[in-house]
Amino acid sequence: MITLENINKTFYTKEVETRALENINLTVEKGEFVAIMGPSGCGKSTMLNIMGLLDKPTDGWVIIDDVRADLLYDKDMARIRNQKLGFIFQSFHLIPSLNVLDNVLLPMLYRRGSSHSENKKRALEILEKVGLTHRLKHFPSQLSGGQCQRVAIARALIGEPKVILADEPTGNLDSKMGAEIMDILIRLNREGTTIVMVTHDEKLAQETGRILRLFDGKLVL
Amino acid sequence: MGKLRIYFKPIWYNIMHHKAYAGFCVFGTMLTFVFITILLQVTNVIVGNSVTNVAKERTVSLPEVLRNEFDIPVKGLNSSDIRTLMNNAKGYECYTCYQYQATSVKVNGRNYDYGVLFIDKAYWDVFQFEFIQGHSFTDGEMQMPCMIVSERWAKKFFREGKAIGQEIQFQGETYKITGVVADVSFIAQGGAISLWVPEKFNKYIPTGNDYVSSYVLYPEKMSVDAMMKSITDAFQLYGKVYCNVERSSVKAICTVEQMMLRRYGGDLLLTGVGAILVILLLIPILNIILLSMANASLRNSEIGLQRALGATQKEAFMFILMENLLLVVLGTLGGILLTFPICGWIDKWGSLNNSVGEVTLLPELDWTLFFISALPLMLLFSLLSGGIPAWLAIKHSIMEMLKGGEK
Repeated sequence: MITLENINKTFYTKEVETRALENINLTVEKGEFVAIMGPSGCGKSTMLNIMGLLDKPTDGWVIIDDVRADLLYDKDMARIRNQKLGFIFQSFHLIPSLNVLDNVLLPMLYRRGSSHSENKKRALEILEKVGLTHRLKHFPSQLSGGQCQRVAIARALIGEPKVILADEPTGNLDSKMGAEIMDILIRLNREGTTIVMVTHDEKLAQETGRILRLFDGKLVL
Repeated sequence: MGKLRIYFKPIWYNIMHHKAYAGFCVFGTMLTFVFITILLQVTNVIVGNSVTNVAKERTVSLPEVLRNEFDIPVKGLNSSDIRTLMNNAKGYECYTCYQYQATSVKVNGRNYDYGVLFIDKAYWDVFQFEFIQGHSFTDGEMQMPCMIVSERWAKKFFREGKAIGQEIQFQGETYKITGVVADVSFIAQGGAISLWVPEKFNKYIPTGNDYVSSYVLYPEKMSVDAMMKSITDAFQLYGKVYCNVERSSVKAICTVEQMMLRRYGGDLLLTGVGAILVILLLIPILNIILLSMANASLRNSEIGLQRALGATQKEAFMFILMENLLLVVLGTLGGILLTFPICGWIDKWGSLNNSVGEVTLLPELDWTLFFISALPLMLLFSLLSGGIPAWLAIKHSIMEMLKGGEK
């Protein structure tokens, strides 16, 4: 499903050169729930961003569904992000001016040919799944952290992606909220969605199917 | 519709939450376009074919005074001289002679100082004013104390500008208004004129001389060279036969088109207008670019999110540009709407309405000019002021934008 081959990523600034990832090789298979763990600054988020085509590797290949995605044009990468990938961020990244329903519908703005009424119907179904039917008209500022993350999950699901990439989805939540979010992700994985999750939480990682550990930009076994 | 709402809502939200920025963009654009619209419209009056210069390329102006080859005045030309002179000119359609006199006019029981033009019947054929009430002088009216007034003048003195049949006194005569002409720009008219009277009633007061301004209208198909030859030959012949001047100076003979360009600076006018336009556009563009850059950097994570969710670079660019475009369109429309009140203010306070006439800078907006000049300039303005910050914003990687961009 997603393969990273010989991925290297180096950040350059005027003064220093930082090697964030070194020779990363991995494959995430369909239906897997993979946790990426490691200390702060070890390159977990960078790896997830490269998988999600949010960043480009310095070297190496990113293959998504047998297509060399790192070489695609911007519009083709955008199409993959929109149709095959769903993102969940630690800080939710909801748009403050849009209510819950509109935030969930946002990715469909970039899906050509999609019907707004069908999108809306699907958004309502997903919001029911994440338990937010009663908050449709609320704005992000009126929601708790856990509710915001549920909106973000619903937004990631609206486009029926093959893979969900979650960057510390419970990082900004207390343990109870974190557990609730984790339950939702586990349920989604059981329903067939592939999930790659970056986390610091060993306990949560143990609930996934596979744990990848990164240290100083390298995958360790 | 639902998609459009989701697209525009964040834009509207951002505008409403950054009122100072939005206000500056709208107000800056508004002021810029007030000046640009006035500048373009005034330039159009000078170089275009608005009344009274509808046929400016085929209307030839004659000097009021005949001068010899050393430019020394020999004789002032009155309407009788012009009539004699024109007997030898060939191929023209018609010509007009008129004289301007400043006088005290009694209207509604009070005296006002105004300029009056004493005209012949062909005056209206040459200058092609638009009559909004009544008509030009008939043969009969040319022998009667009749008067034609301008729209502004009529509105100033009579309810709803209904002036036909009203009476005005000056120089011991009572005149009846028989026509009202639409306002023209004082720039096209070349002075402050709002009252016209048949030449028969000219008492040559207060100037005491009978020199007239004369204009000759030629047919459309006649070349400028042929027109000039026809009139200069007639002028030279008149000088030779009636004034004993072997070679008269013909420097002052020119078409109205040439006269307007000479009066307002010719090529320098167009270069100057171009330069002023560039300056008028560049200063607010630079200001708005800086503001928009600050605004776009505040919205980096939102734009980054849109890119992460599937927006292409082009779509993200358009999203940022759209906000600027909305503000610029709003500012431009405001600017265009403000043009007339500001012209009115210039008319009122800019000493245009001096003691001799009721005049205006711009009687009406030329919409063709708006569509072919102001609208493209507005798009250029928007593309530069919004496009540059948008382009700089989308250059960053999505990850960088999601983190809030470079601070």
